Amino acid sequence: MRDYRFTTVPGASAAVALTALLWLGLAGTVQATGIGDFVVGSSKAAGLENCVEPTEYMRRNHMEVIRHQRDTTVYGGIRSTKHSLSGCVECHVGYDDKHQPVAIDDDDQFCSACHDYAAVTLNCFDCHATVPQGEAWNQVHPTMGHSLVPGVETQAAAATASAGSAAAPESKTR
Amino acid sequence: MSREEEQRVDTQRRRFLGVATAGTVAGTAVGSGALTLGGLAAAVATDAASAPRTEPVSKIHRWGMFVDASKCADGCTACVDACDQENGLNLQSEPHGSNEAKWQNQRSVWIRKVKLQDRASGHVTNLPLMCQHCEHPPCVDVCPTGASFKRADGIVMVDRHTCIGCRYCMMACPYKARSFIHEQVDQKLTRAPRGKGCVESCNLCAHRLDEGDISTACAQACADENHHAIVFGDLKDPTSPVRQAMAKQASRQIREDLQLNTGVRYAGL
Amino acid sequence: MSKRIVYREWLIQPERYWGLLAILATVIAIGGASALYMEHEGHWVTGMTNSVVWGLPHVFAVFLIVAASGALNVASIGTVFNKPAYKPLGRLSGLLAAGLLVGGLLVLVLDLGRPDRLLVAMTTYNFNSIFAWNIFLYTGFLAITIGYLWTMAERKGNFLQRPVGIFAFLWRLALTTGTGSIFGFLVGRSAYDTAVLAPMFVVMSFAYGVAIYMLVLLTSFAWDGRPIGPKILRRLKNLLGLFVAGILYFTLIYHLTNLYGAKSTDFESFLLLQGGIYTLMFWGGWVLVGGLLPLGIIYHPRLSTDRNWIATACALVIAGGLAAMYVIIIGSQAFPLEMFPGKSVLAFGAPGDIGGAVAPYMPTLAELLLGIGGVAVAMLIVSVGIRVLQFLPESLSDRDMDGLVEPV
Repeated sequence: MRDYRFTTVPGASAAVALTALLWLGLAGTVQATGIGDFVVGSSKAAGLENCVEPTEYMRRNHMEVIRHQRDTTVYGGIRSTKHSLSGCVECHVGYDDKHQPVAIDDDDQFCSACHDYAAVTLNCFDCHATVPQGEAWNQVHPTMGHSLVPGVETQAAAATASAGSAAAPESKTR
Repeated sequence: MSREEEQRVDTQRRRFLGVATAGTVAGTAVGSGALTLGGLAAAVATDAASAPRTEPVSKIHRWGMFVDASKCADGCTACVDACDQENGLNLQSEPHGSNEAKWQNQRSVWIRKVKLQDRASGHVTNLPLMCQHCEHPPCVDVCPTGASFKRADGIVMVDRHTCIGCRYCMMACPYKARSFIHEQVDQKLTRAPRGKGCVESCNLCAHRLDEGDISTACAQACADENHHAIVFGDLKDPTSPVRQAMAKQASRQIREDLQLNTGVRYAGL
Repeated sequence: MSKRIVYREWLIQPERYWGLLAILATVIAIGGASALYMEHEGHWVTGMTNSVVWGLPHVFAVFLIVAASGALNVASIGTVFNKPAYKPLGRLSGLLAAGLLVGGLLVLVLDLGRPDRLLVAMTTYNFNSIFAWNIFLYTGFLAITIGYLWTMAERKGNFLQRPVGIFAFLWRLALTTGTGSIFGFLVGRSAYDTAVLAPMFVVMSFAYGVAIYMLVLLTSFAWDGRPIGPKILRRLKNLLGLFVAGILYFTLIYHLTNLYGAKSTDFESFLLLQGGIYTLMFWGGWVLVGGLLPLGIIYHPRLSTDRNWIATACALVIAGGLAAMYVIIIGSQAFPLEMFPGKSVLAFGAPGDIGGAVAPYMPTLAELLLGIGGVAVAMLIVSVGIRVLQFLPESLSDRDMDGLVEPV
């Protein structure tokens, strides 16, 4: 697993990414006893066995995965793969008592809980939508595209299928 | 169709296009063989475009527009409204304490209705003005980080992840097409992310294209109003509506003197 | 046989020194707070709009950067052109150049939409962009200036002084050319699309740099009671006069070029006649305050020997320089882009959106304070530098100096 940590990133962003990795790695170690602690109970993710890649892999490498998808989307125009940020939001956003989604970067929500703990600035949501809601919400295809880790594809698909009916409160448009 | 075949067609097609565009915009000089090739490529294009994109954008297409100013109705803002809706521009809110006149100059605008009057004849022209998606965009040349870039399919846009907000591209753009986000943005759309401190402009509704929908909000709205002043399509495909429209009518670029080879052409201007 | 130059730390009374530092630190803190405010709220709190995208901070930043490269001139004259009279002036020249550049760059960076992404600007380059080249020119200038200072101050490095000095001189020419070209290669704007801007910026940098240098020199020497001889002062003020005349000459060429090209006549009539504040700034600030008045003082038989008047001339050149930058940077943006020749623009977007008409711009206090903060940063660097290190010569009186013998 550790080999994946050293995917190449140009220039000094590598340094930043490495620092971030170290911090997150630390957070992962500290919290290793309570896997699932960061996944918000009311989110769709809580009912799934794995993230789009094995959880352990995502903990350490999610920023690489997201960055890779980001460039694919911006420069290649490929939007609907399973590593898209909107996929993260759709699956990991928590819901309040009235079944309304809570912004994913709110305090104690999925992204912020860990980023605050690790003191890593999170600025995806300066620009990106924080709740999977509204007319503008893209249709996400979480199982499309190729996996970085062979073998998890079927597993993830099965998990999505089993959890799909239980947790899909938002309506998909377009 | 295999990858190699596709590439081969692509090269042949480009060679043909080079010849064709060297003559006129219209496909008048096109021989029958070339026509078949063009048709073939068009078939490939529609094939690939019917579903969300799985292959990166390529030079096979160059997206662009043809605007017939004589069909653009005075007082109609359908294209502007549609763009605002599509790209979340209507979600911008005037910051508390801002001055209304200044805010109108600070809010992001992707497409404008422009009304002109000829000084000699008094003739009035209406037209929509947006990013002209130049082949040689000055905004891309000047951007220090390369955030302002031209996608392989000819769409000029901003990679917000590397934009540092220096606004040099806005200085360089001859069309005032770009806007800087002067304020905190609370409501964001997934298809059009937006945040304080970056520059943005029309991206020819790239999200639609990426989902396989060959249209833009403005062109669609204009057609819905029955004006058909804006035609959108692939400038490299002689069978596309935009090329067909260009073949029928003379068109020109705004600031042709700069030789930027814009992707948006105007007739009746 | 040359006279020995003795350098000494700035020895003004501690109360005076710390008082000065406290004032500068306060101004810097206010400038920093303004920058934070601008970044936190977004640029809507400034006068900048989508029409006038670069505002008052850019006026200050570009002025400081241009002046920085000019401030190094004094050192260049000493080492590159071998004028012994300028040798003792070299160290302060290098320090001032570094200080002004840091101040200018800070303002530039803090005015970015995303200053937090400075790292991106440092790691991702588009080499087609003059802006990207300038990032290298600026950082390189800083490094070279520091190296240059070392060769001047360290005996072991003395032998390198001339080669490094020549390199620094060439580099600073490239830097100002690059800064001028930021504007010079903007094809879309009638005011900018001319290559004359680059050499004009070079001459401007000479004048502004020398003016600031002279003011700093006169002030620091006066506070410390060190003597400056009338001969070296006369040389410096004559140098300033030459550069100021050079600016006027290039200004004339710039406008003649624009007037000759039919395309830009509208812009010229705007700037020279009907531009309101910009016309006023051009004639009143750029030409009169920054050009004719200082020239009048510098070449006046009596006033030109009075150092208060010389200091006034320097201050006028600086004020005129800021006005010139204001006209070049903001006036040219306020002037509408000419997209439709022969046609009047009746409407451009929603009401209030500006196109085809002169764009309004009113700088806000935050912008002004940020700009002044940059100036204070430069002054702070110089004050601390001359206090802790030996930058200032003990005396610049005529008898302590080499090379001041009048040619027969």
